[in-house]
Amino acid sequence: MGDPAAMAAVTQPGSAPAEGAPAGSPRAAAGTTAAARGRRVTFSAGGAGRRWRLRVPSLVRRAVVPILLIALWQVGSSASWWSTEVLPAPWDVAHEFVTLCNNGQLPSNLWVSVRRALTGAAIGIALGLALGVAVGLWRPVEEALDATLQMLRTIPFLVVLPLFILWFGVDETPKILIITIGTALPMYINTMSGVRTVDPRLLEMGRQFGLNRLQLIATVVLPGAMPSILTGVRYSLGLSWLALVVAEQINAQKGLGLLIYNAQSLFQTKILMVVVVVYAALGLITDVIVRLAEHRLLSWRSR
Amino acid sequence: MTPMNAVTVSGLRRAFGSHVVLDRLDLTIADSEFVALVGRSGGGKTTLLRTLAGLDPVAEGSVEVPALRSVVFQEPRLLPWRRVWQNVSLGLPRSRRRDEATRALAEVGLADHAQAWPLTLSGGEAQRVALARALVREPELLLLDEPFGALDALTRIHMHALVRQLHERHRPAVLLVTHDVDEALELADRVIVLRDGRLDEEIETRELFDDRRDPRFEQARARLLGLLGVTDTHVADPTPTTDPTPTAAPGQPLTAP
Ligand SMILES: Nc1ncnc2c1ncn2[C@@H]1O[C@H](COP(=O)(O)OP(=O)(O)O)[C@@H](O)[C@H]1O
Ligand SMILES: [Mg+2]
Repeated sequence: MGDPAAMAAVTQPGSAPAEGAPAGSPRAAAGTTAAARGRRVTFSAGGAGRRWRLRVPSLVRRAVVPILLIALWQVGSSASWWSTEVLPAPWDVAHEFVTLCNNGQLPSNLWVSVRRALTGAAIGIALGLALGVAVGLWRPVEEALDATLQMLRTIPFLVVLPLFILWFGVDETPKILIITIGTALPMYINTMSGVRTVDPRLLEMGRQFGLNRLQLIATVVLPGAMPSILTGVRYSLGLSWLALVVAEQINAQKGLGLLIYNAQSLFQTKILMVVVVVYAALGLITDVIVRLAEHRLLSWRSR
Repeated sequence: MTPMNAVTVSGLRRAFGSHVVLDRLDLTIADSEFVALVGRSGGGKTTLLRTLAGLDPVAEGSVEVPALRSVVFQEPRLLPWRRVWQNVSLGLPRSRRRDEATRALAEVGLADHAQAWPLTLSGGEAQRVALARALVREPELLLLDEPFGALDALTRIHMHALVRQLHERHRPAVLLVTHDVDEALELADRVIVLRDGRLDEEIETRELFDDRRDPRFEQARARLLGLLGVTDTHVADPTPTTDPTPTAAPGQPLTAP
């Protein structure tokens, strides 16, 4: 955690350190304006802010607002501020979740969807990474591909879905392909810009100490571009869920899309809400995984 | 043993556009010889060193150097995502990496830092790692481009002693580029001056640096400074300049208990 270990207390000479005395951060206190003249700052371990942070874990502090929102949602439902036909209460949604788990509908369809999204994302991320490195490193490849890829990027990739269905039919292929395209492009953009920012002096050093092309990519280029690459991965995985939702609206035989389709035609808002919550959870989980990967892969940055 | 030359340069010319940086330059460096190259900023010292390193092309003239070469630049050029020992062993055969890196780090006094991340090192420590990385390959030619330029005076003194010690142990031929005349006189067997694209002065210092009170030392120093365009030969003790801008607001001491 990057919490500053010190806390500054600012006191004005000649004025009593009354309650509500200006408590500035060390950075704010380092001014040279007339107001700061003659003021003193003390940096010390421990202070009001630090104690609050120690006692309440970060996770709890982050959970406060979501919990309040859910509570409001429950209160509003119970007090009939809106019809539960339109927006069912959180408690009922949780109940429905358990039912769907028990009768096997949610697990089986969720598994189909997750596999779809991850297959498409894996292909897309690998493709974007390879293209990004090649374009970032080699001029001829850049000249051959970059303009085309930048142009593709300006097309909202979801609009090509109807075309894909015409071309590839209605089974798995167009669904996975749309996810692949949706994930490959952000991966490509981020990887390429990351590769371009790699310090050329480090590349020169690597070459000079006898690294061949592959070793150079593995030890200098990819680690140097890693912050950008991980940003790309995060965007790509986020988009993969979005692409999944759209892809599954077409001829969903299985998957979360089927659940949505059926629930929609029968006005089962509870099931719709369950699926929405599941999507939110999927997004959250992938984000946490990428953050953990960042923590591990970029540990050299924290000093 | 017949004296061999580690470096033979003849008729080397290099120009950027119409700007001639190296003009039919000749240079030889004997095996194990320690040569310092001084010259004004922008005079082409780095260009010459990079050419010897094989990093810059030879358009005109010929350059003969050993295959085993290492370079240390002003900035340490460590990979921040590799631990210190992995930086040192970069490009070595896998089986020898660990042992040789450990030994080289011990030589520069950084055995304790083998597992550290480069970003946690001070400037002097990082430069010592770069030295270890250069020497672990046992180069026959060591090229140093202002390697102490970014270090503070005290660290620089330590580095001078270390470099001299390492040179005595490994005996590579060395070309040290520096703009510091005292550094050149202290470390090198021979000091050469690069001016107008050519090497126009050589000073043998092998017997001088042991005794600074030798009048020839002061003479050599004065002559080098003159060649570099410093007219006042007594710049050894520049008048201390007073800095009018205080670094912190007055009356605002920072106390850290
Ligand atoms: N890649 C380059 N393109 C154009 N000019 C260059 C390039 N590299 C160096 N120069 C020029 O060559 C001259 C010598 O540079 P350099 O060898 O770095 O000098 P020194 O190391 O002695 O300070 C300078 O005038 C510099 O501007
Ligand atoms: Mg230079």
